[in-house]
Amino acid sequence: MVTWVIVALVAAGYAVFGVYSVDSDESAVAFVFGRAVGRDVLPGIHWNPPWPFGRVVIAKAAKNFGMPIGYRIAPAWDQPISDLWLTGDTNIVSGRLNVQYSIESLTDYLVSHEEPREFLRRTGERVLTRFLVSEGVDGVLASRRTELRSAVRQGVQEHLAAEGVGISVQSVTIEELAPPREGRVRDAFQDVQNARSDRERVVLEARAYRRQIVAEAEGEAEQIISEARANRHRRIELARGETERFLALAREHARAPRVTEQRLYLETLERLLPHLETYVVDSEEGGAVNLRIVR
Amino acid sequence: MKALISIVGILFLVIVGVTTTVVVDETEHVVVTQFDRPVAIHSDAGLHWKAPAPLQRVTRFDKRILFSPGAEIELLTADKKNVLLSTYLSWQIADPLKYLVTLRTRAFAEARLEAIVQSELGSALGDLPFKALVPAESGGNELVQLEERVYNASARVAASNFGIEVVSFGITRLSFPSQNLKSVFARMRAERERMRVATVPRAKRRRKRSVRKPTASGRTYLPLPRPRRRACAVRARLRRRARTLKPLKTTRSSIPSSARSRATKRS
Repeated sequence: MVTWVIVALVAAGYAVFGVYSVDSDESAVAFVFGRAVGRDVLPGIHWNPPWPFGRVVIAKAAKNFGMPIGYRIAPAWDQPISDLWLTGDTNIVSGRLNVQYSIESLTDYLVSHEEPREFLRRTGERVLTRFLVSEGVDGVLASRRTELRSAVRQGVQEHLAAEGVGISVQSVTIEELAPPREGRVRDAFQDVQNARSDRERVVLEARAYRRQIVAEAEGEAEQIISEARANRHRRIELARGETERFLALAREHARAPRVTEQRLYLETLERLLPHLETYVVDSEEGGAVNLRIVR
Repeated sequence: MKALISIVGILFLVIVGVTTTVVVDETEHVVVTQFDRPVAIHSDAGLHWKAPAPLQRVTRFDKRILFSPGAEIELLTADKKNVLLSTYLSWQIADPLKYLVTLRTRAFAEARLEAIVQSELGSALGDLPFKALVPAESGGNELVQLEERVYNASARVAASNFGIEVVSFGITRLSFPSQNLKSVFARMRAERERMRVATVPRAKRRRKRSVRKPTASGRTYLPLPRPRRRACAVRARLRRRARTLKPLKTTRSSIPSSARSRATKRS
């Protein structure tokens, strides 16, 4: 009697080991004698026969994992990974990507493929190679990064789905895409960039200088023109004034010619010979003496 | 005494249970052989029966898609250029019995598969000039075609000879041996140098002859050609007009005759 009770207790205690819980961001696969009896188990508390009759694998389903392509995060003892890729115009670029993925189906991830992560990495390399080989180096480095990211993402996803690996790609980021550091190539590319920006700068400076000169010249031109106009006005007015003066004189002369002539004569003498004393003698009284005394 | 018998009995049952059952995992094919002759294949996971150890043995094969990354291969193209290729194979054991008979171990299988791939790649690449592999214009289809060709050839051989189904074959990297890399880098450097020289404006390369700054097209800027020209034209016009200026509000007849002969045209 007592032995049966002890056996029951032992069995119960052993059975407790089979209880497992799955969190809300997790997924699980339960095996009994190697057979997957619980596929993609939903969150909650479940029971599975404990070892050695069964086992449970629990993993984070919603979390994003990262897979580097073209480099390694942790140091490795097998072959080093190269980050050099060939482009369509027989140039070489250095490229490093990071693929963010999540486990879509834990069952597939565990059961269908031997090395899902390694397969992901190689597929990434394969798609990257294919894309770069169909592009030119200047295009790739400057303007085609978005296309590269989406091409890699789409290509990798297609291959993963075709082999049923159970992984889905969330995003692809470019860690580095640049001319290779080796062989001073990167410096040479940088030199071209510098030369181009120098040219931009010189052109802008020249344009600014031109604008400045033209503005100054226009200002000067305006000044010259307005000066000339003012001059014109002045000369016209001057001429007008002289004309008026002459006409006034002419009228006066018409009215009293001899008097005016005499006046002009005397004024001219005074102007030309300033030290001259001039006497004017009225010749109408007495005899017709018309003396002009010049001393 | 009774307890001892029951313990021994339980132990015996356990031993019997272990030796007569086979646990087949989801990821396995299990072949049961009797005196090196296969008698049963279990591809479905779970618990299966077999006769105990010396009579029947068990060999396990991976049922999953297996992944074999190839080593870097150096091959010659049709125009005698050295190319480094990295590849991988995804394959599955489709027929465990055939696999057991012909290959048996993973290492042997990988070696055979790699040999097939290498020979097929070598012959395919030997037909192509290097330019055909990296045509930026035709959208890189050559690479896909190459993969397809190797895939088809290897799938055929693997299925018929070894019971292996090749799932996919991929070329993961195209590169050059390190010696050639150096010359590629040198070529890239030279190309960039050419581009750099072409970018520098012509004016910068001339000696400085005057204080005037050069523009990007190389011409030096001469200030004020037009405005000064215009001012001169205005002045010339003024002079001409002044010479033919008429007196204001009077005609020639209004000037008194006594004054007319003495009037000068000087303004």
